[in-house]
Amino acid sequence: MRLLEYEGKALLRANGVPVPAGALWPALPEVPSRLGWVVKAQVFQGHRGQRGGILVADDAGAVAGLAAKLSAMTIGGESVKGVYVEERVNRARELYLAALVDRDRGCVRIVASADGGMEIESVPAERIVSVEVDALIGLRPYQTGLLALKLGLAGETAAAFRRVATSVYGALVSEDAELVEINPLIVTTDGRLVAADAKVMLDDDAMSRHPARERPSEWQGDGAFMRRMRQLGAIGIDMRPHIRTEDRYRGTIAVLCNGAGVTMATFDLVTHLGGIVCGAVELHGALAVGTEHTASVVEGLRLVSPDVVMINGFYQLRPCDDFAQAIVDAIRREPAWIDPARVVVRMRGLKFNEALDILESAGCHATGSLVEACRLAVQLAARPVAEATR
Amino acid sequence: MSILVDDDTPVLIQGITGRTGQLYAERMLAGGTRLVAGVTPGKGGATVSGVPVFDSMREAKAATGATAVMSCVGPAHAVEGLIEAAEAGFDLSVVYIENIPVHDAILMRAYAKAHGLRMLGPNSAGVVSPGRCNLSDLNDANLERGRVGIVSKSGTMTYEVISELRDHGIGTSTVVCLGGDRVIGATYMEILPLFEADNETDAVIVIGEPGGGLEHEAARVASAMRTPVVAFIIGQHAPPAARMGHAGAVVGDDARSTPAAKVRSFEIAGCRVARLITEVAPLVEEALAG
Repeated sequence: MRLLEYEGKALLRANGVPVPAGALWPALPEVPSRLGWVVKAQVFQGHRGQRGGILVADDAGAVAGLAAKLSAMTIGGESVKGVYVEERVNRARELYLAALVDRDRGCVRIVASADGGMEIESVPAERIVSVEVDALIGLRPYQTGLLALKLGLAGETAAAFRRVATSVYGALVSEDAELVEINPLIVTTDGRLVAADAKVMLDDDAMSRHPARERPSEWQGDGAFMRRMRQLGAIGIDMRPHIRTEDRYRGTIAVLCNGAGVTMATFDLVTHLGGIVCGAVELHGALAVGTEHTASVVEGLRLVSPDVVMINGFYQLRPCDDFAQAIVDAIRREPAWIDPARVVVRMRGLKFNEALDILESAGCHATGSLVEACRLAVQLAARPVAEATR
Repeated sequence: MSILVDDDTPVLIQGITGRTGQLYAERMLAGGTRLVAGVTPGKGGATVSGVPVFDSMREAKAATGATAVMSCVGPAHAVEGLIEAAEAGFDLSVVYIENIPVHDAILMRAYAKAHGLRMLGPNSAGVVSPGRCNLSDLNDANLERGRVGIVSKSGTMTYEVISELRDHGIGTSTVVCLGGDRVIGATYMEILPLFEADNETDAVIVIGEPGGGLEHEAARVASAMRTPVVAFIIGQHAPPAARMGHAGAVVGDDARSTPAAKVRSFEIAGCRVARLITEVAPLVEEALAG
């Protein structure tokens, strides 16, 4: 998950990376600033500077007005989540530095460029230098030396850069982050290095290793459906914001499956057949927790207000009758949220016939064929609710 | 032949005395897999379904000659289990545990590589050569021996593809699940040449998904293969930035990570490409017909 700038900077500071003195407004940094203050809107969107999200106050008195203005803003459709006030620094140079998980190479990569301050994607490849870190021996001094050299740094600045690079790598690993990006990393006129911005992505799968961590802003922005799925340990995808305007008044389908690949493929098939998916859930092993828990995950679909529910469970060694029971229990939970006749279940696994009986006697549609199930779900969604009711 | 595992592969279950371990032991023995040992620290000397249990991977290897590992240890022991297997000199390990922190996966990958251990996973459904050796969660009853290889990031999608193939009378030589996590051990690039060299594999299905760029490497390797490759790329309608169940299946800012870009790479490589599950078996039939 993504952190806001101020959260990212707190994390950098804790790991020994120099950052400007700053505070979340209405608090102000405790140190005086000779050069005035930078007042920054806290949003996840990029290019906030060009969109008026970063302002400069010459003295502390001007901060309040600018902060109030920024906190009322919407940047790229995203409301401002806070205003960060930080000391202004004199910049001699702007560098780029990032530590990230290189998925394809299966290792950590440190990326640097002398062309900081612009999107790294727009920097020519020959102006970017990077090294791969072997997890068994960590980032080596020769590697940070090479990065400094290629950036054209020398003397005390080179030494400071190497220290920062080592701290950033340390932060990435010890904080379980997937990305720590500093752009720009400022070389001040008096030769210090300061992280002027911070983009940090944390590893969702490592959250339990950091119990003291506050709930990141990104999660606080989740809607009721996403929160519920997260709470139940299932993986939800809220598709409602992605539905095209012209499809807003068409019947929608919520998809629930076991397994990530099957979720995506079912989603693809339903969409291909003309269905509008309003939400998708991957059970993520819910069935192993128990029938009641599984029923709660299924019932969570009520939060995306589907017209039709399409469930696809393909099991190899697991009996599917308890999954069928969980589905029926979920449908019957109060207040009523879905007509059984608008629930289509495709199932494979042991005790298939028992599962079929449970579902059909509850009034659901059940089949072993994925294509048949998707077609039926799309057909039902195309019909108004009353007509499909038995 | 087949790849990675065969009739004579001596198999070990790590965590054999646990519930999952015992279940796998029974299944393997019933299905004809050559299960020779199990390991659970502190349970050395015991037996599970007649299979001897050892305290350490080294002892088990020395006593039984086991080479392939099915890891059935809990999430808290996944990293240590893998390291112990690598250190003891095993050739292959299936790590099916998911939600492993990415930096742990990076460490496991680096250590396995340094010790010549081929790691499938994390989050891998395993590897199976039907009727010969099954180190996967696939049910033997759903498998049929045949001449099509599968290498996939997704376990459950592999179930669907196998079921579609069977409906068309097509069986499989070996099914390899790489795992759906962001960082995994063995990649397509490592597995495809094994299928190319296997005289019992006449076509290979590559199942790919959104996120990362390993499929592009796979397409490059496929373009130089004599064995025809059919690619099936799922997640065509996945919204950007959403984690599609697999930790690894996220379309990022990088255009290379999109299913569309992956489809293009395989098309350029001269492969047949399926976008929907229903298209896979007919394309494989075409590929087999030459």
